[in-house]
Amino acid sequence: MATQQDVREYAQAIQAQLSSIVTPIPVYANFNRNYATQPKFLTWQLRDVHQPVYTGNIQSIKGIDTPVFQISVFTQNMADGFDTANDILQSLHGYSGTFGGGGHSFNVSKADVVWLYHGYDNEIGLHNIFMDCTLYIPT
Amino acid sequence: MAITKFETVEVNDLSFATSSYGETQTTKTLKFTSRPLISEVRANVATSEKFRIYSDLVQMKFNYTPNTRDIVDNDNLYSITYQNVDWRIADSSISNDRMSVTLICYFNKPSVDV
Repeated sequence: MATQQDVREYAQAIQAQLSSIVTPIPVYANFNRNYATQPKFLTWQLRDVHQPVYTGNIQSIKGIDTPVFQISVFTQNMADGFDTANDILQSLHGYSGTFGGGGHSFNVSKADVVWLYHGYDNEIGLHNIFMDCTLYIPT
Repeated sequence: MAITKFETVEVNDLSFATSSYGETQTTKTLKFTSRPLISEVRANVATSEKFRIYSDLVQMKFNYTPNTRDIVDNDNLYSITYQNVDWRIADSSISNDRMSVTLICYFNKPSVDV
């Protein structure tokens, strides 16, 4: 039962957490053609931020938030992609505790990772692995 | 023969950092000032399904030097300030006699809804 949580904190915590898992591989929000020369990198996008609201006229009474962020791993070499994706799975799936870092962190009850699919993009010559991570953020 | 003109431009080094949000931040640092031969100035509009994208193209011919050779090798790491606008390199070539380097630079204006 709490007020709406700050999505700016979510974004900065995701950036910090992913960076600490895969360092020194660079992590970015969204894809940008400037990375085209990099042999491996990772991007993320946040979606589905939603704290259920309860009936009544008090706006601040809201439930647990379950935002999802998609992780996209891009690598020239397939083995690098699987190594990086595996690091993320091992580290994040089932994790509970402090999420984030660098002054932007909060407690998560659980992080749940789904490996969606692996593909290859001919145009940019990169393997890509897409994963969804759901955070359960208690209020 | 078309008229071409030497004009002053600034060649910048680009470095890329990441904000706490994971957004790329590009920093320009002046590398050197030069006077290339400017030609083939053209403005272009491409109409996609939803947007009009205005872009300008210009050709710049520099002397072949270690610095300009480096620009050809790593054209993503440089931008050129010309007419107070930041131009990026779309295409670069070294002349067969290795006397000059020609850069085709582009500048995108913001996209406009169709």
